[in-house]
Amino acid sequence: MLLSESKTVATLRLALVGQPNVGKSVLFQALTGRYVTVSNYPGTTVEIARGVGDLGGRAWQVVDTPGIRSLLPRSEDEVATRNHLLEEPPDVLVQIADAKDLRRALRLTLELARLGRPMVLVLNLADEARARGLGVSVEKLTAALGFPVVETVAVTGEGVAELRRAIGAALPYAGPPADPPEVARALHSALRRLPADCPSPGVVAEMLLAGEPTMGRWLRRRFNGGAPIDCDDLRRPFHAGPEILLASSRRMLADEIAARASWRTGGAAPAWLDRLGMLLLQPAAGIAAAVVALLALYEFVGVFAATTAVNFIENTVFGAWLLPPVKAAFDAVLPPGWFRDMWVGDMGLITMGLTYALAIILPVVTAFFLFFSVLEDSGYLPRLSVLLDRLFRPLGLNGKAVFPMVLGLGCGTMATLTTRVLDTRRERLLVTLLIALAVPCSAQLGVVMGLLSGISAAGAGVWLAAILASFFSIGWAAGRLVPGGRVPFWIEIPPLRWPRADNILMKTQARVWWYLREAVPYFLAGTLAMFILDRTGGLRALETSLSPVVTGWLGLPREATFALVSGFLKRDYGAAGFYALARRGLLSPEQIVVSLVTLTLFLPCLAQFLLMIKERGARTAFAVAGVVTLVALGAGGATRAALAAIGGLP
Amino acid sequence: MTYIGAAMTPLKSRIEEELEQALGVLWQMQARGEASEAKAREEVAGRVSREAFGALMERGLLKAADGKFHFAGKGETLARDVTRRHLLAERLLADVLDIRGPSLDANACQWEHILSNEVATSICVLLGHPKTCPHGEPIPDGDCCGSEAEALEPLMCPLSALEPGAEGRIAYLALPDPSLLHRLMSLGLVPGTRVRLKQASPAVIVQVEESLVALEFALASAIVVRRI
Repeated sequence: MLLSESKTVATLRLALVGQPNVGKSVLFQALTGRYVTVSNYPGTTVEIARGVGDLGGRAWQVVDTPGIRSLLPRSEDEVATRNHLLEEPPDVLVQIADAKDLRRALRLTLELARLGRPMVLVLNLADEARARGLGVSVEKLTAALGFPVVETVAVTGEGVAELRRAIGAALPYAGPPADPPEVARALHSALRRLPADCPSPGVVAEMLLAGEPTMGRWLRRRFNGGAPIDCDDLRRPFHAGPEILLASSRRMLADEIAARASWRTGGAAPAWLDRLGMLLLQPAAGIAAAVVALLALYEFVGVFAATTAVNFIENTVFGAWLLPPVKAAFDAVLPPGWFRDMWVGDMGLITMGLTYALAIILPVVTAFFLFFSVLEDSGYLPRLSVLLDRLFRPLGLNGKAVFPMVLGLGCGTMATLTTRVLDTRRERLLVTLLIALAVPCSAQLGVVMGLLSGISAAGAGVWLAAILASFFSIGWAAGRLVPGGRVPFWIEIPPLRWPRADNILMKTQARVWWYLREAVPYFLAGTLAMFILDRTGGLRALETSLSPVVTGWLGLPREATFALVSGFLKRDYGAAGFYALARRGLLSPEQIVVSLVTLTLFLPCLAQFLLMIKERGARTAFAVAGVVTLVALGAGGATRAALAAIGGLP
Repeated sequence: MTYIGAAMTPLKSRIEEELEQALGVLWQMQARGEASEAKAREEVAGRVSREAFGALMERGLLKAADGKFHFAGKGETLARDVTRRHLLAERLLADVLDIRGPSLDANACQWEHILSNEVATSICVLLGHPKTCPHGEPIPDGDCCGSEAEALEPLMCPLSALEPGAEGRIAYLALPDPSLLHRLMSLGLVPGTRVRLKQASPAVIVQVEESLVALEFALASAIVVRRI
């Protein structure tokens, strides 16, 4: 990757550090030209990204880190950032901060100062600060801190040139110390207990003194075991904890510096966007907005993309323009037989695999990602998480589960990856299970909506009820079975922002590329597997062995087995298979509902399953798969029985 | 008979003060689950005086059996009251008068003998019935705690009890779990920070300086603020 290429060239390292949602990733992109996902909610960067940037004629390795609120970590990615800073001390530490909240920025500055690295402070989102009547004297701040301070508006590029220049002039913090005397003494004692070659000993000592549990593990790993360094005796005399004392005194110093270097011009009544932002936090308006968003999602993804666009692309672009000449070309070169059929036969890699992937799934996924990016950038999702927190409580989760779950409506694989923003392993496991089970991805949703729009509204209602019932009942049971407690809900709420077209397009493009790279190979592999199964008679055998379940339990035609089996390989692929069956008129409305319920709940696609193994471990992944299969078949059979009992759909 | 703890006593003798102090020490040991008589004797001797332990037994406030000590007669009530007065005094000194460090302890030790139980009740109401002292030790409940009718407007209250639009300055965070504490601290919710309650439900929405933070009720009620 970029890292290995750059190591030989770039000798100087620059780390971008800052609170979540202040624009680190946009600046990373401005400095390196590399794109990482950028959103208007905390926790978008879940991995450390590296790139190379040319700053003042020299190649620098630029590192983008997940957002931290403090060096005292509260989640896995904050641990990752802190450990990265300890293990690979940067030559220059660039702190990116929200210019609207200078005092908070300075509190982190005072923490980072203990690393002893040359620093630059970037006050990003300067336009929003100005709009609120907040003024800052960069000169006074520079004088107080002893290192360069730059104002930027990263999305427009304002101030980026100044930042490039300032990096060359970075210096360590030279302001007044923030340690209260008794903490300074305890820190001094803690320092003497550290190994002589411990990197950034000041920070390590502070963490030990604060009783931060991951620090001890890090030290033992780094220095090959050895006796654990115990600072409990130093901690004990501080009844409320030295970290509170330190935080209070840093707060006072930060307030003092901010008071000297900034001012507020006029009270500036809240803009209408701010007022709307508050309104969306209230149940009535918030729920109304959620309904509007869902309807818009349905119109845009379900109707426009999944029906209009798919019809055009599948029938006209592929069916009429692309496939006939391709078929003709293959027929001209290859003799009739299995090798020709493998490419352009009924189950051919091109005629089926590529066509499904590009003509049916891609338009739907693209539309969803576009929609999701707008939602994300506006700052609406954290507001939604506040409203939905109570809904998640019975499941042993909190409102933060909204982020991976809404993203799961786009792509379950991507959503499984995003569960990293959750605080505990328990939450990550619960959300992974629910995404695998009852959160249909956009590819599926597109097909589901397409199929449901062909039958009555009652059919859609039955489908929705079955999915929601499975979601809450399994979520409730899992919340009780998985040990550990629910984490109290808290979240920062960013201001509502107008989404920027260029950021939306860039983000959608990055996600679509990611999807193509991850999904299309599995589509093709799945098609090939189906083709081979079909040719070797394996498919027939599988269909025969599964048909009691499919025809007996679910009451579907034999042909549906094929779609179900292919659903093992890729859930949306299975959905597309049912779509094809329904179009051929082989399914009754009741059968459509039963197959949609089964398929929506069914195993996630192969890509998501592999990622589950990677993120949660093989045992957990197989357990989740087992639960999901049982629930899917159970709910499918139950739906069938219920529909039969009421005498079919009205 | 003894007068210790009686509200009407204007001034207590030195020995009475020592006995009160010893009762406080024993209450703390009991709260920690420590019952050994030998250890109790040692601790009282070290922190109060050699004679105090024996004097409490003489007055029938303390008994010892099978190497374990336990309160007798009015001993338990007196011990609870003195602990309550001491810890409430600490809270008052720290939160309202902003006295910290060694002088906090020294003053609280004086006050526990001077305060009457009635005054302690008033302090308890004023401070919004605090559950722990500034050092994190639990304050024993008094009769006033849990009763609804209050004549005094509390000066301190949980963040969740502010009216929407009202402002407060954070006095302390009463969270037992340090990792939760660190999370709130990282949001800028540290003692001294000025906060404004924007909305109370479905989650508590607080303006912390320039940013907006949503907290669930349980977290917001663990943050004790002084009304502004």
